[in-house]
Amino acid sequence: MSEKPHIVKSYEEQLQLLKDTIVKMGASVEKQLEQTIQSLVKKDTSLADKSIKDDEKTDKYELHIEEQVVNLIALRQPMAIDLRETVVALKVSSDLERIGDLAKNISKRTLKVGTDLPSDIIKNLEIAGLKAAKQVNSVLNAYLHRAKDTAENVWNSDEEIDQLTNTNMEAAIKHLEKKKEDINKITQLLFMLKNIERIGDHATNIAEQVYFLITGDYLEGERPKG
Amino acid sequence: MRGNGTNMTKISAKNVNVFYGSKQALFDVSLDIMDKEVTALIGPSGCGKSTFLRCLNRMNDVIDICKVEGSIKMDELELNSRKLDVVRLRENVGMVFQKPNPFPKTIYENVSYGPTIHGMAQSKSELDQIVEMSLKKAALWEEVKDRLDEIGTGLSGGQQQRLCIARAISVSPEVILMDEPCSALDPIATAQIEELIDDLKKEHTIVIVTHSMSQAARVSQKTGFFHLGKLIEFGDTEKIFKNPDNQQTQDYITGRFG
Amino acid sequence: MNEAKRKLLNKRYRAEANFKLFGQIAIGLALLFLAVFMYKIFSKGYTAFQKTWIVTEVHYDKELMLIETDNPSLEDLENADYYDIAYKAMTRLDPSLPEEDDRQLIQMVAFTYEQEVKNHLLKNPSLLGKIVPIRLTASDDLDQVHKGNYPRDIPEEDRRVNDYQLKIYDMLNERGDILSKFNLSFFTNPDSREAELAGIASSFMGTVFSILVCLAFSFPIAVLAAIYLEEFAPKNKFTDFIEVNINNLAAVPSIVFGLLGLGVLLAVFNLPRSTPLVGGITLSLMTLPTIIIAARASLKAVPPSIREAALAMGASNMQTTMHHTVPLSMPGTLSGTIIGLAQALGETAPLILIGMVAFVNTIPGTPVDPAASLPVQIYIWSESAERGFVEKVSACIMVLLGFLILMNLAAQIIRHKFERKWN
Repeated sequence: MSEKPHIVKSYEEQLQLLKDTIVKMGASVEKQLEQTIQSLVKKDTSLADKSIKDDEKTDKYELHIEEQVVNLIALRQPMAIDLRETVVALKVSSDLERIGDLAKNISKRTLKVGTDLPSDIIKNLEIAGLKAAKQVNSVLNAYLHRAKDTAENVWNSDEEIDQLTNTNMEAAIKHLEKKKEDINKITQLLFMLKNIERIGDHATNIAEQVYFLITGDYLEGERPKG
Repeated sequence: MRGNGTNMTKISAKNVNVFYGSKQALFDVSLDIMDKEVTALIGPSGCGKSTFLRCLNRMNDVIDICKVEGSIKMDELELNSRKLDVVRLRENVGMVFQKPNPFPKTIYENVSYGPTIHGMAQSKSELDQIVEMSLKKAALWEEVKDRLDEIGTGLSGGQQQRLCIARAISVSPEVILMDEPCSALDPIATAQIEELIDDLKKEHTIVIVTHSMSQAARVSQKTGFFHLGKLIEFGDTEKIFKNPDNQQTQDYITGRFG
Repeated sequence: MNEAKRKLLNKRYRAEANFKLFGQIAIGLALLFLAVFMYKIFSKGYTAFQKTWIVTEVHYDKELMLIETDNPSLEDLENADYYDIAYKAMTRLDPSLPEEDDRQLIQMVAFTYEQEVKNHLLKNPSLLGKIVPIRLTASDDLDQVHKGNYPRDIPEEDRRVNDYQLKIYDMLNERGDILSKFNLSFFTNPDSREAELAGIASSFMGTVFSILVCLAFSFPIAVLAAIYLEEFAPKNKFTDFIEVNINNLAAVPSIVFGLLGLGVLLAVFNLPRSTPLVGGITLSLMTLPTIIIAARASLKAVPPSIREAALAMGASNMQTTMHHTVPLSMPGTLSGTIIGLAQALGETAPLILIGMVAFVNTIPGTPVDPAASLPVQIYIWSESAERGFVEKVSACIMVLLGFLILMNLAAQIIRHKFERKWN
């Protein structure tokens, strides 16, 4: 649905600012995620440091959005599409914030583990991470372009990450059985894998919100699970 | 917010067309008003919502050039019939207006006027009782019980409007029509009236025309959106305000009209 | 701000100042005219409220009065002869005057002096046989002399009061036997050919009766017509036509209504001529459109919300009108009525045509007795030659103005006190 502009221009501007802030926050989270994955792949701890540091920015965005949403509700009493826009912004921002937190958490663990993990495991981690990053990217695009289908796709393809996570965890356990002294590293690794899976879940949550934003309906039915 | 509606249709309008002289004010309006629910009619000025409301108690009769076509049934009674006894109808369908318009008489006389002309009380004490009951239902009794012989127009705006509501319910109408009842009132008085509407729907079917969309959202179970004499969308209030089907409705309630 | 703009602004201020000035001049002129008018009337008229008396002594001599019984009843007194004692009361003012010139003294009092002597005794029968002081109404000429309205320095043959009478007047005046008192008889006497006796009682009552008849005829008809037109009549060409004609009627010159009264009320219905009944009906033709217009205006001023409120309660049209609209419009209607009546009060032309201009020297007791009216009285007196009537005209105008002011005041009070302000 393409909307006419509001009669009250400042209202229009406020809504636009809210959308822009979400998009910026999304970009910030994507960058964090990117840095996290690259620090693993390139064995570059400075990228992990950056990712940890960038989470502060993400948190600030969330605060900023929350403030805007409360203002909109208090001062404009949005209705229908505007109401959905406002409420969805609040929920999407909290999901994005969680994704940022998870990326930060992975980076912290990367620093603890060091860079001498077996390369096949690193490879698996990279694949899962890129997959999750792709999901986040897609869902943000869906939000930006109001693309209902893209949101549905994201929602449906979370299954792949879940399966990937399961496979990776099994591989990690097998590695541990062979090399018991790696217990510390593998524990960290399991948490990292779990975090990537959680990032996928948050992307799915956002997809649901985007779908609601566009259609006013909820994505129905059991989500395909691995 | 769900009503305690009986899920029975109280008033059923079918293909209502209204003309003022050669100008058509309503186009093929059809809608069902549910018993003991609040139905809100919203829309920009001049959209025909008040015109439709006035079809329901035949107040359009006052205007010589006004012509109403189509069928409006209340229960089994055809309202848009020449044979209808308008006086009896209005006993059954009360009305509250935009500007509080109590008679410039005492509070008591204001409320007792309807029961008196319709011969509803056999004695003074019976009449007293009706007045007290009506004022209590209109949540005004406590404020005026010691000064029933004061002039009604001396009350505050909100009190005057509640007095008008008391006057309307004094003859126990089945339906109460409200034409922007809060547009002249401050927010506190508005809240009092809204609370009252919530209360009144236990016993009466209420149709309210309002300019305030948030008011429609707060008090009604069904909402109808009128534009340029047409009923654009009619449905559950929640649906209309969360996710209306029609783009025009959406534009109107989100303030994108233009 | 540039120069051109400043100039324009100054010009605008100047224009406004000039406009105010012209307005003030206009008001000033209007006030000046009013003041001159009032001054003329009051300065001329106030003396009419004073009456001049000559004090002398009268001997109620039984013999001269031809009373034979010792204890005369009131009836005997009534039938007694007062000619001689009254005559003597006057001649004793100057015993030296030869008998053939007695008229000169008699002319100094009103021709009713014999009656006055009689009335004095009838009021106090105990005075019979006694010599008592009595005050007699001075003739209008002497009255004017006393009020200083007659120049005394012109030749005797041009004066209405001769030198001898002036001498007597001066003598009496010196003795303090010329009295000047409030002229009650101006209000209680009917019209008279003699200025000193003429009063406004008959014309005042004539006016009161005319106005009452006018009210009784015009008010119900006008109010019913207004209510019907405003609340019940369909709006179509015919009612428009009626409306236009009502407005026209209000603009018809009043003399036309006089002709109507003459032609219809007197000629066709044979109503008694010169009576307030006919006058009142004729005037009511005039007031009718005024009241209809006022009543319709005040019915219109009742906000539609009140009608709607009543109708929505299930009141019928009739109930809505009678319970709500009409009572609310009453103050406006009443003040309009009073203003209409005040207009009628000042009407002269139609009354002259229906014969209310006749000389009436009785006070009317009912609307079917012949009577004059105040404005007609003014007209009659202004036609009279005697100097004494000049001040009476002004006095009569004052009474009429007072009447008008009272009525307009009543209209104002009703309007302010009872008319609701609809916000």
